[in-house]
Amino acid sequence: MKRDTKEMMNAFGKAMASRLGFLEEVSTSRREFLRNSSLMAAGFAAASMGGAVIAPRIARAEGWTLAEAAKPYAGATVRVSNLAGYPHNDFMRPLIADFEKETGIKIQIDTVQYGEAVGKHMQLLATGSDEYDLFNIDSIWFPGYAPYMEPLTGFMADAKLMDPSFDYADLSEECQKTNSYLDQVYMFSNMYTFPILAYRRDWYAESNLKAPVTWKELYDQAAQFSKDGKYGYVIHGLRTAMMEMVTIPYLSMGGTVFDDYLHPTFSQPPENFEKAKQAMQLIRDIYQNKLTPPGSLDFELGEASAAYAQGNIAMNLNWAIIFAVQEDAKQSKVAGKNAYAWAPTGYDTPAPNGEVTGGYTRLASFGLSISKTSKNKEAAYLFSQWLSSPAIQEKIVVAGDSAPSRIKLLEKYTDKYGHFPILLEATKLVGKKLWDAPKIANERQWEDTVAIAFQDCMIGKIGVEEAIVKADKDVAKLMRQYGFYKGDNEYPKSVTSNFKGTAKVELL
Amino acid sequence: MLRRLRPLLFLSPTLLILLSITLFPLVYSLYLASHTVILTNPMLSGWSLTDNLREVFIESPEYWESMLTTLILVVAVVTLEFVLGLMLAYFFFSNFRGRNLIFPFFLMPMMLTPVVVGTIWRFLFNGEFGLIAGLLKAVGVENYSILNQPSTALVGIVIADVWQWTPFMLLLLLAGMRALPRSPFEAAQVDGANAFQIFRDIMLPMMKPIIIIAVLMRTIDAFNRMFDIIYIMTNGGPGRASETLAVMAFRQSFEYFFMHQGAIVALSMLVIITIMVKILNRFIAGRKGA
Repeated sequence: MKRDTKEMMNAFGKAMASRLGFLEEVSTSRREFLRNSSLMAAGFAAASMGGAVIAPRIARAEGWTLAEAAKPYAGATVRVSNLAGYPHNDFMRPLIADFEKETGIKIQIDTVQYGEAVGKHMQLLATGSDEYDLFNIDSIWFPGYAPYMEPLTGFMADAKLMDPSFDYADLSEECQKTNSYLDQVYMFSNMYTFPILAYRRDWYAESNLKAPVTWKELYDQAAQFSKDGKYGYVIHGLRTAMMEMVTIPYLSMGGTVFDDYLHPTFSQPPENFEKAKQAMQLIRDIYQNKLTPPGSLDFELGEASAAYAQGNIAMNLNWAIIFAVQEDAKQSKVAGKNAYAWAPTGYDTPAPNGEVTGGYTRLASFGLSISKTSKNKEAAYLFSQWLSSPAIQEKIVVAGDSAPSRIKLLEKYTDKYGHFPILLEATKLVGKKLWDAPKIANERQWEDTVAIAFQDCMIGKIGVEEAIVKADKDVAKLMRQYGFYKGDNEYPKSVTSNFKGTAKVELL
Repeated sequence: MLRRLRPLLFLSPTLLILLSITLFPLVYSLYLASHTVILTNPMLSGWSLTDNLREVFIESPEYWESMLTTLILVVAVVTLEFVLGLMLAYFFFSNFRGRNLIFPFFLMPMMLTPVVVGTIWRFLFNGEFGLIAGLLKAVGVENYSILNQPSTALVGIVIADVWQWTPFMLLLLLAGMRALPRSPFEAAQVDGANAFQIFRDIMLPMMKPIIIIAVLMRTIDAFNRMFDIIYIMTNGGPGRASETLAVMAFRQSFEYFFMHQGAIVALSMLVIITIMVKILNRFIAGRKGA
């Protein structure tokens, strides 16, 4: 390549990547140019998508069978890094022998704790390790994984691999959206979840109470139940859960987390600040007034559910994914004693006509994504596709899973769990009142930064106002370090995931 | 010429391996520390040593908070381990029936990996189901989770670390005691000194070299390895109340993916540890010279 041409291309790639706000400094190698150009293309794709769901080309071959498709890959071993402690993964395990028998592909599963997964996975992926073919990923973390993962779009268009009965459109719209990145599909959901309020039906009947519809009501009921070794509520206070513990009430009061420029907005504009203070104060009061078990700053969703399953807690606002545990009589003292409701909305006044005053937090989904370094990509694809297929997903629901990713299963098994109607209804919130975390690679890090400020407030190290301002300041600093604010760009909705336009605030 | 090079030739495989496993990581860490390296955003790259140093040492109060936490923990655990280790060593120094039977039990915590120790103590301290919470409840302290309170989280970590590493002090100090000559003790006894006087005026001064070596070794080790137990027990929390430099280096590198900041924190630890090792070496060399 002539030097002039190379320089021109480099300058072009650099300028465009800079405009998109991703780039601080670039070298002038050909490799860098290619990177910049890809990033530029990716940015345009994101901007043009505007949060829409991708419609991949799907091959449909007559007479397709899994056994036939797997023949070239028989004998391969697919290694999976799975998340530990999630019921749908436990229900899936006994079915794997069927897949192995039908395909001759061996599946080897290792598990990793949720809180450690991203760190461990990123270390492996960033160093080019081929230790695992498939990574079990919470969709919220996916943008960080994206550079290291293989899109499924090519496999889906391949008639030899694509199962024509897969029914991709039956995966909820949110599952399709969150498991795609830019213009590619990366995962098939094998689970879909949403925060729902579980509460003790028997206690509420005895006390002649109804599920709380505002957060103040939730607090008052929690205080009423907290006596004689019982607790009214259970907080998930671990660093990986703390941000959402506060933002769930905050969003429902109408708050927003980022503006369209990815500037954090807990402390500004003033109306947000008021809502954030109310939400933080509420959760802190629940903890400090001992309406939640004393160790709950150590709880993630699993520990919270296990504590609730002991039978001495009135309410558990938790992700649907974990309800299978508390409804299993072998593991829970409260199986069959629960009712389910939407999370409260508004601080002390419910919105008119039963509508929420603000938004809800995200719908989440987990899936399996293929590593670019995998030497068994096709075999891995076949396993991932098989796991999310309608037939296997149905077997998993029948076995007891409480968070299926397929709409038709939620409709068919509406009565299986009390929360299924809410889970189904929640799929209709997509693009309307649903706040999704920004689709950025640094999702985990800004969440952790917010969590540190909120935890400091919970333990009384800093006050409520200070915690909220600290969260915004620290997130702004972090995002600046990651190179987000170069060029002062407005980010497309597909990146910010804001369901409504959010006015620009000043960076702290 | 060939004769002079021959030893080097024989040594070269070992030297190459040593260089590759010690020098390369160090050089790579220096490279990371002087550049911007963010795993999730490889586009941000380039020389940025001064910016990196400013970010860590001037703009981040977190570094100095972590340094303080590390120092508090190191001083607390080494002091307690030394005092307890010395008491236990003196106990096992005397002859009594069953000494050889119970001695191995005192060494057992040291044989466990820190992850196991952290897990054991995390369960013991659990505010809901833990044995300690149960005992506290029995004496009237309700709903207390030691690891959830910033004021007591460090205490919990100190207890776990002291439980694991006091046997190390015990071993070193007991070996030192057994190596002491008998005659000064016999002379003191003849002169009518009591047990406390013998311990204070004879044994402790004679053991000074081994005490200094044991304390320095344990200080270096504690400074360097204040990670595993904390990671398991509190993960640096609540908030950042128990985040040591080692935890911070890990978090910056492998959770925030700021490899350059993690490298700077790790290199700053290396500098501090190198100074400690120099002191230890000088002391050992001084003893040999004497």
